[in-house]
Amino acid sequence: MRVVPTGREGEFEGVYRDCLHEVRKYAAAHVGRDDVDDVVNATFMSVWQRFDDAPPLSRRAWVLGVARNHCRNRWRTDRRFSGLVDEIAFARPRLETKLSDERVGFEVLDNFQRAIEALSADDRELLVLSGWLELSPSEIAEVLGIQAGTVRVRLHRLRNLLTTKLGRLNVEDGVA
Amino acid sequence: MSSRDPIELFGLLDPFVDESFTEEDEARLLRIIETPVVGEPDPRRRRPRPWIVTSVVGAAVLTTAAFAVLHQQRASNPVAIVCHRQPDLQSDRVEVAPAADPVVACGVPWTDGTWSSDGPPALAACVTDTGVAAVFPGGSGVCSQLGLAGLSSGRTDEQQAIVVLQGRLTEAFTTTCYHQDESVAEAQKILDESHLAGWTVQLAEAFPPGLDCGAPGVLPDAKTVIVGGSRPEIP
Repeated sequence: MRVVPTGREGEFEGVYRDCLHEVRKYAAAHVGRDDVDDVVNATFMSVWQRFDDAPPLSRRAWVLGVARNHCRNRWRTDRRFSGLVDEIAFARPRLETKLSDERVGFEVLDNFQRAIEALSADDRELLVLSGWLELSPSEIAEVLGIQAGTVRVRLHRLRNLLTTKLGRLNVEDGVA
Repeated sequence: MSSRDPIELFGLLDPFVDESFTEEDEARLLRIIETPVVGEPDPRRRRPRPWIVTSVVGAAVLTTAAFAVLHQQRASNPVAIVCHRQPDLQSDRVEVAPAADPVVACGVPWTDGTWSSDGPPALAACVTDTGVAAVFPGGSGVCSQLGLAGLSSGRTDEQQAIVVLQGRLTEAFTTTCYHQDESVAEAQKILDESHLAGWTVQLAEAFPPGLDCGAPGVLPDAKTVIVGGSRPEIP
């Protein structure tokens, strides 16, 4: 029988269960799968130690901010999100099934891979936070430590940039 | 061709599936919760009630300058320096290695492209509730505005010894992979040579599979060198 923790421990457990998958996903995109466990361990140990400092209303963004700091502190800047294309390639069979269910052509995979390679690390991070983690602009702002308005502007520019790049690559997302 | 939002389209390429919790996830949770919390916030520094804030705001303005000059203290935790991007405790931050001058150390993220490549703005060094040096952009009044003490320069002999201990541990454990028992012995040997009184070495937990190399951490408030398992460094 497992004792259900209360108080600080119970609150921490709730945050751990809510955020573990997202931290794992963010870390994999940022530093690659091989180092995910190290980031997850370090992140939640920091969160546990500093739990009393956690803002009550935006703990998800706060936890991801802690994960971001660990990623940036432990790995060189030039590795930031460099494995994103590999992640997509690695999961290709499952993604093809997913795209098929959504009636989106498989060429989207190749075109996105080429488009991502041309993006800056900051734009790749924004893409992950918005596209994969589905964070709102306000939450992204908290993770990145910038203003929500700045995030909206950057998302707008990123959207335009991707539309141009994917359009140039002749992406069609409907079934022909 | 339809015009689907490219970011939404990218969301479809999320390669991760929502996995259920593994035994390792549960074990990690228990390990973390069993870890002692170091540097609990001082209850005397709790946020004052709003009506008190209103009544004292005038007095606070008058005393801010004096506070900034008089309220200085050393960082009780000399092994970490936290650099903030904005004059806000919740802002984006990076931790840098111990340095004699935290302001200089925190100039790096403003010059290496992390936050900027144009050089640092005016920076001010403060001490957090947990005794850590924290550097914020802003003038000399930023510490008092955040309710923090300003950082006084210099280290005590003990703090200097802790910094040296941290450096020696880092050097030893990054150049050699010490397994569990060797890690404790090596950390104890380095600790003994530091002549810090009342300090002990503790194993955080049995090294989990795959995390076979010791990684020490220095906890000044607990006078403890804690050793955990880490993945071998990739050369």
